[in-house]
Amino acid sequence: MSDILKVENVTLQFGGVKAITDISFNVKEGEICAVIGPNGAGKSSMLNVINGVYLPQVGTVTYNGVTRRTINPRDAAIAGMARTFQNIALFQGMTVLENIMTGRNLFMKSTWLEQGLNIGRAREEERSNRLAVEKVIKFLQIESIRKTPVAKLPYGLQKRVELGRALVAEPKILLLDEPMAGMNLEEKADMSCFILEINKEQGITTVMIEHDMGVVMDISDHVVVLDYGKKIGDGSPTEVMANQDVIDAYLGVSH
Amino acid sequence: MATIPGLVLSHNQNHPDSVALRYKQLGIWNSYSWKDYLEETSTLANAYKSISIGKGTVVAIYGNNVPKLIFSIAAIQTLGGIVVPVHPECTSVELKKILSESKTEFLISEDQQQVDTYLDIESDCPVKSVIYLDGRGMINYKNDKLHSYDELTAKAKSANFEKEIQALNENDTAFYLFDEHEDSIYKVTHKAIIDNSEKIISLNSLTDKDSIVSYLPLSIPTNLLFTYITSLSSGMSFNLPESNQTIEKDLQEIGPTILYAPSFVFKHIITSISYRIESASESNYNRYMSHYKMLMEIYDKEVSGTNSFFDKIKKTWIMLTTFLPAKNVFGLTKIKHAFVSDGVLSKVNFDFFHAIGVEIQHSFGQASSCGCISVQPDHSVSSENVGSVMQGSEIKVNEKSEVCYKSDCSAELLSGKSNIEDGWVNSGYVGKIDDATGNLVIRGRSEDIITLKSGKQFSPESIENLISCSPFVKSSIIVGQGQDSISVIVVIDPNSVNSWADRKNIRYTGYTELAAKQEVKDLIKSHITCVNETLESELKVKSFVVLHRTLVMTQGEVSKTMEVMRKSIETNLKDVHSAIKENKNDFIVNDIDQLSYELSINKI
Repeated sequence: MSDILKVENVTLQFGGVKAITDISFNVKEGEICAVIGPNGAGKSSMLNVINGVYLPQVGTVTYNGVTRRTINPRDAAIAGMARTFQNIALFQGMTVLENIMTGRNLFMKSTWLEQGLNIGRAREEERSNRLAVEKVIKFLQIESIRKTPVAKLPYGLQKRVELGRALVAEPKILLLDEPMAGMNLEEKADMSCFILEINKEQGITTVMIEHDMGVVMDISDHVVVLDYGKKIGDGSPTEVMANQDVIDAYLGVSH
Repeated sequence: MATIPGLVLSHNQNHPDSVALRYKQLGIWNSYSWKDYLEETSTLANAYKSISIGKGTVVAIYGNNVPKLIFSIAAIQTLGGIVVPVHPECTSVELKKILSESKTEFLISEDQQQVDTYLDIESDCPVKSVIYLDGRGMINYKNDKLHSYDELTAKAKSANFEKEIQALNENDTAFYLFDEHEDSIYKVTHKAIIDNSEKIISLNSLTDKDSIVSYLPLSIPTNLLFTYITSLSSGMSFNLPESNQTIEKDLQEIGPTILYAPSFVFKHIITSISYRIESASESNYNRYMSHYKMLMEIYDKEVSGTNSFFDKIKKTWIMLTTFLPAKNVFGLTKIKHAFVSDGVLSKVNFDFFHAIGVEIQHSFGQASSCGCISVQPDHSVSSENVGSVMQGSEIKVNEKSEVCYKSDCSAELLSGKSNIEDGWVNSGYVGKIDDATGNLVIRGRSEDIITLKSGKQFSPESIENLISCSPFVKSSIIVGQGQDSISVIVVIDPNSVNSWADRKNIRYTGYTELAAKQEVKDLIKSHITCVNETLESELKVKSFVVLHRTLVMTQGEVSKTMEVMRKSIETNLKDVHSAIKENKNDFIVNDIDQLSYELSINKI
């Protein structure tokens, strides 16, 4: 299968601090790629480079055959990249339905006046976008909280809503930043099932940052390991598990 | 000739554009008229005919109430097939029994959960083909027997089955119904179940203007009769919720005029009100509590006929400000008839519903009586009995106090132990017939009767009913066979006890820790002490255990209508039973999840 995403020699620096140093890796179309590493390894920075939030000093990102050093996050979304965040970034006062609807922003071409008066294109857009949102609500089994304000929901469900918002953008590649952080066992099992179904049944390539090694080893096809901004491992879950550098990074070494 | 497909055909001829079925999908209510209903069933019948479903073919419908399964029932019966409704949560042991003893050839299942249960027992049953509605999660399944519903029906065209429907015989078997208490399967004819529904319709003057929401699986015989068959016979609209999690909202949106539910649903409404109130603001909490007290005082006066004009004004005020909004939340505003099967509501809960204008009509029925043998008329409701016997049926109580009946709408046994004695069907329940009114009083299942060491016999259900009427108690199991005194295992309700604990600033991490809190034990103790005041001295509860978990349906600990299943509980929680018998204070339970829990017996 061809590579949908190629990260080549990326270096990202904040002043004197090097967050990422000369990292390269490829993500094949249709796979689940897990990016793992201890805290501060540069995993979230890597996702931010991929979807254009950060501009790397050196290196390029090739997505869908187009090579670039930077991209506007909106253009990244238009090109089919959707993401979720480590710290939930939902509109807390809005309902689940409204929050997920914001993910359809890219598909709304009507003017604010048409939308305010519900006339012309706005009517048809509202109908088709609502249908897309409802399909995702059904897929994520959150029908019963459709009209509930997000602030009232437990953490695990908010994570699910965030995934829903990313999904309605109809992405080609999904960037998930710690989708299972802070969840209990049952919620993790549900989330793993959703990610697998999104990947295997809908064919959406997934890049996922995750700390739960059990989940990573179970569901990913490819694992990239970062430590102190450098890549120390890249391969299948079994290869990475046997890599001495990875074992040292996670368990520590005696000096 | 009344047959189920025949009823669909006749509604299509008489009022083709009236709403027959509503279903919420993707957040929107979709309606099917009788014309659409016939069209859908005819198309499906054509598709099923192509896979050789025909006269006498046994087809199991395995899932929740979704239109595709509902239309499938009439479609299969149009071809002369026999439908076996199977509960979506049934265990693989039950499924194996149902499929093999009914000789089911085709299984139409809803989704992966049901397909997985079937695959566990695939080699032990005669099923030739499984048709699944939702293939989600099954992309890698490689089994020649599995077929997609969408693929099967994609090329099917509507055909005219009018001749076939008219040629159906009303005395042919329409359903095979499984009775989980008796572990038996019954053959139900079109005529028997339709006649039974017509008795309910004429007794309660139900019309095609009524509407009913069916949210329990049709495998429950009473539910099949009161919702599906009654709606087909009367022509009323049959409404299906979006999912099991959205029932409350869907009931509110539809506002049905007829409600059928086992008693646990009404108990759930009381519990839901309770936990919402526990988590409400201080002022709303106090207002609700004072209004509840006033409502019940006025209700007592109404019952004794001593209510004044001022009481009427007061009641109107508290209904408008508190209880009408509460009724609306649970979709009870338009209810004309609320039927309950499987035993009676406790008096406290019954009185509450009666006071807010929801008249609960108790009924009694089983698979062998096609779902109903007695029902209370709406002008004579009570929490003491389950009504008078329906027309065409006779009832008697044998020397062991067991209720026996004869009915012109009874079902024939297909497999299981025969319960017919001298032409009378033994219901397996003990009870009596009230001499003054002729109403049937049910005390509980005869196999559950407990005999204390002193020789005193009683039905545990009567005491459990009193203990479980608290919103903090989800279920309770009385233990006392051969002992000096009565003990009870209490399962707390997670929602209402959670809200109560939050209000009292009690810290806990999960259900098990909450159930072990001394404050929770004190709460349960005070409730049991109140219950004890109403019981005769020998039947007072002397000790209780708060269980560390809820009862699990898939382990057979509760029935599909949430009644406690004593045998399974006794097996799964044998450590608790033996600790009670040995009169221990603290003990360890080795539970079915392979973990150990420390519990204690609390004296009263």
